[in-house]
Amino acid sequence: MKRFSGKQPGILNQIDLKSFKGKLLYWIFFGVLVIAALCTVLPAVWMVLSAFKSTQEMYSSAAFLPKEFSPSYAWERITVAWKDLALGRSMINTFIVSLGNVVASVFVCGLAGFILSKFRVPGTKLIFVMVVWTMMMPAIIRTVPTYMSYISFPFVIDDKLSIGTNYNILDTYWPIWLTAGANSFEIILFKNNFDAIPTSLVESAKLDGCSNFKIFYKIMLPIAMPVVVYVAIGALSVAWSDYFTPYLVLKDAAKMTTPARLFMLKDSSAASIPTNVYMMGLIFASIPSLLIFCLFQKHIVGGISLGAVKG
Amino acid sequence: MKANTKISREKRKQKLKRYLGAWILLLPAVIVLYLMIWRPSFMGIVWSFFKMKGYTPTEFVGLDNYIQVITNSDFGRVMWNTVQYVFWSFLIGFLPPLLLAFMLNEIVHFRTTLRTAIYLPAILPGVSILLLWYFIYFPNETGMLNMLLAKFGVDPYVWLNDSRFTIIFIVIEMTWQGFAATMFLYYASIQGIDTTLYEAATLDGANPFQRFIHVALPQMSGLVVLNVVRQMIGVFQVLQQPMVMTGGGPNGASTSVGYQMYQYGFVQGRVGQALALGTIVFAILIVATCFYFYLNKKVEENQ
Amino acid sequence: MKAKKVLAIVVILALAVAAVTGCTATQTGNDKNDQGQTVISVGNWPTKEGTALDLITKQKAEFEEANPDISIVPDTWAFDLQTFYSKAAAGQLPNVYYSNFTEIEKIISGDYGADITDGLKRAGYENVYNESILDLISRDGKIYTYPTDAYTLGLAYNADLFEQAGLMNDDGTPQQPKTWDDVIEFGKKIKETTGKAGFIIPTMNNNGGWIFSPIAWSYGVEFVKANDDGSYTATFDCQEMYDALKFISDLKWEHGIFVDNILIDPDEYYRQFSLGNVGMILGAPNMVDRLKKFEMPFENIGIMPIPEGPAKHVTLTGGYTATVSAGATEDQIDAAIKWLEKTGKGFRLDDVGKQAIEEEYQKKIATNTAVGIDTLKVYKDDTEVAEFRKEMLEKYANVDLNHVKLYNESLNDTSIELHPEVEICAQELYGTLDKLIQEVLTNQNADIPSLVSTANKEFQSNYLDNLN
Repeated sequence: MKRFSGKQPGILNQIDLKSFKGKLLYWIFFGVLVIAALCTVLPAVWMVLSAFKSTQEMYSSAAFLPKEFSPSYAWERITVAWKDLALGRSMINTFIVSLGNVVASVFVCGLAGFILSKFRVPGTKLIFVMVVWTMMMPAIIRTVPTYMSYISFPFVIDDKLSIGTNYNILDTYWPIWLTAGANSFEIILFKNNFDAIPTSLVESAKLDGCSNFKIFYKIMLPIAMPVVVYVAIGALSVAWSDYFTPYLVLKDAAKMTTPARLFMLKDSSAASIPTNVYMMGLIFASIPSLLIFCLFQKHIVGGISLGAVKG
Repeated sequence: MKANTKISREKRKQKLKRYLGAWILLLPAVIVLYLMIWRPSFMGIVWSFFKMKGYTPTEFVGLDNYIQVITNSDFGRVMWNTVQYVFWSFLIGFLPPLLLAFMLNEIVHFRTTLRTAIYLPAILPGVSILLLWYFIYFPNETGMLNMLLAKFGVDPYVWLNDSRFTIIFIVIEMTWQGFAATMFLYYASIQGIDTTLYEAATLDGANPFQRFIHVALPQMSGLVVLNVVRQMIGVFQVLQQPMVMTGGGPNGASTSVGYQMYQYGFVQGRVGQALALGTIVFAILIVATCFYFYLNKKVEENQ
Repeated sequence: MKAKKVLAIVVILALAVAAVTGCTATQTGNDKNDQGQTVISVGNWPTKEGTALDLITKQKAEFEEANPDISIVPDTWAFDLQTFYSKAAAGQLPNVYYSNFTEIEKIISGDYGADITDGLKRAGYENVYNESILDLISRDGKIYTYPTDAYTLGLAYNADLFEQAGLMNDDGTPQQPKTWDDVIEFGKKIKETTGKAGFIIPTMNNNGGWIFSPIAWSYGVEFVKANDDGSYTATFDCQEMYDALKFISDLKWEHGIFVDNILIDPDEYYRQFSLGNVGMILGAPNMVDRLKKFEMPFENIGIMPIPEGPAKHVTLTGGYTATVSAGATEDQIDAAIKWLEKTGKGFRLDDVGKQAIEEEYQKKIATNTAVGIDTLKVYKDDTEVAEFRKEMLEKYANVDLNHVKLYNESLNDTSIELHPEVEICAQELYGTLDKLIQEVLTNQNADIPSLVSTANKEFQSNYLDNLN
């Protein structure tokens, strides 16, 4: 078992942990977290196991384990799910979509957050107010008009009033990536984090002749790493969970992402599949998210003390 | 004189260059927001003043759509339900992610394992989560909670079917489903806190509780404020849970504004009214948020 | 600062206005391709590999060979509420798209379906449709959609539970509840012998109102009356309606033959039935697609005609229909009708039609769908088609035909009135009825007359007085 010596200073620190009270507090924290983990892990395990039940059993009992487990039945369901969802193909698609999402989220929103935080330039204040307002716009008023604009993007003007070149971006991944970039919460989040970084840091880098982009890339992003990772994981996960946008904008089944494939099988009567095959598909779709989280979470570490950077 | 104008011109040129350098980096976000949100939303708002045939505006009707939405006998009920959603989601859902994030930051044993485990609800597909809660709340002896009650000799309870508390039960499900992502955000932000601050506070003789209140929380306040706004906006428009879990029932007890908009816009084909209600929601949220920021400022000034 | 802000907002809005004026729905996608062929896109194309996809691909190849001037473009979009308006407004619907009859109101009122009256005439569809079907598909004498399947609601039952409750005859056919009171008696027997619920209806997502409406009609209720001046009046605040709701309320509180969970969406409804937790529900032949999801054993599936009410014997008609998207050219409409005939939906029984009908049953068998429940005739004098269908149905049946015999025979029974859905504000009405049903099922002491009269008034003022 690890010793407390590895503990970073926080609300509790080394000295506290030597006293009984401090230790008690520590183990209370630990206990609460274990309970919280049980509340999340047990249901998750239940969900995975329920995909191995027969459909009739799945809904007739809330039992943890399947009544009978036969590997051949399970294997059959797995292969059926894999084939029905064209998982090989759709997972590659989802991967491509998720990469674009990350680039859009981190760079479009990150740069905006950087400028809004560190530059007092005319117009930025107005933009910030509008960004905050953007958060409050209900999606329902824009769903259809946004879609209508995709058929000749970016300037939807009729024949008489054509500005520049327009493209039909339906059936491409652009609408998904642009949606990922148009995230006002992430802009504010980045701004919020960059606000905590001293402006002097930016100024001194500028005196050294760094371009704005380089400052953002080399200084701001590394310092704000935990939040960058949060945003990146969010952007990746969206690709693995959102079915609506891909289903709406893609026509070609070969381009669909995994969640969209799942959605297409769910209700349309002709294609409907047994519920436990569907659940199996859901599990497949969530494995990549879990892997992504496991891989990236270790980058969420503090310890880049601002004092050190300043020095 | 001449030299002066030259300098000022030089200065202005430099200033302009600085502005331009900043704006170029801001531009991608502005363009994307404009194309994906501002322009279409504006179109939606304009159309809310029209009589709509499908999604084709046919005739300007002023406030007709708004009047129809507001005079609908369900309007008051739906608004009140939505306020309840927001209220309960703060009461139930606000603290857990924040406290868990801090606790997670304090421990050294099994940290990675616990972090991953607690993050699971954010990864699990919504459909399976709803299946799970279907069983948890099932209103006879086969429901998970009722099985638990039976152990204490309590009769099965009807959970979601009890119109007095339906919203609370839905909010509990929302909290379970949503807290992990928020907790993770708080956690990421706590990682950014300069650890020397804690040390300094310790030297000043602050106990753990004081360090939490006076060192950690102030560092987080910006994010907490932001998250409160986000939670309010999200819960105000909640659609998925009432739609799948209760269909807004029993007898309208859990119909949210989001569900009402969905009914107007997609099910009933009353496009103009859906857009009008969306615009009303937009206006309410702006007012509520401004009020919240104003309060927040007052509180900060008083401190 | 203030002035600048205002200026900036004005500039942004100006740009937006340019966008608004330009954004009219245009039918993209050409009606002719480079080779001069007429191009039509067809929705509901299967996405997963397997029999269904193979079959339609084969049909497409045969069709294009027989009609060298037509080219079919597959489109996987299937009707779905959340995406319909986006696709429709941007002119991205498939040229031929399928939906439930229930959606026709939305399609026609938004001008998203082409008028195919002339096209049907050109293809020889003179006076071929059943009266009850014609009512559903036409507005002001014009036909906007091409019905592909039609059905009536029947009383579906779980043969296994019926057997256990001793409700099956010796020859394998079920005993039949003739009235709603019989349904209660049957339900009680099922409850006593098996402990399972007797009879339920859905209560959520507007399905409660939809299923409840034939019950109400059979008590003598008419929900909406059209006035001479074009307005409509809600007319369900009446004793008959109170009785119909009392029947629902009694299922739970008086007789205890309802299920415990009263929030029942369509999934839950067919799920409880599939699992054998419920003896009887109201369902149509197309429910077999839902039952497939929950893998209901075929030998348990049974259906018979809807019971008679105190006022009349009436059932709800519905079905599937294909719509040609608005803006289609004459050539496209003709091509669409030809394609629909190729898939076995036409009124002629030529070789093409015969083959398509047989292939459809083969497809159902291959996709584990229950076969054996007959559907309502779409066409008037299609004895030939009907005969052939019946022949094929019996050839490919995988459910016990004795279990569905009563229903199949009742399709020719003219004593049962066929009633289409309410023609105006149907979804709004169903939502209103959902609430009433939920209230009487959660509240034992619900004051039904006052609830109904409030609902009637509110439905009138919220919706009927505010027609789009």
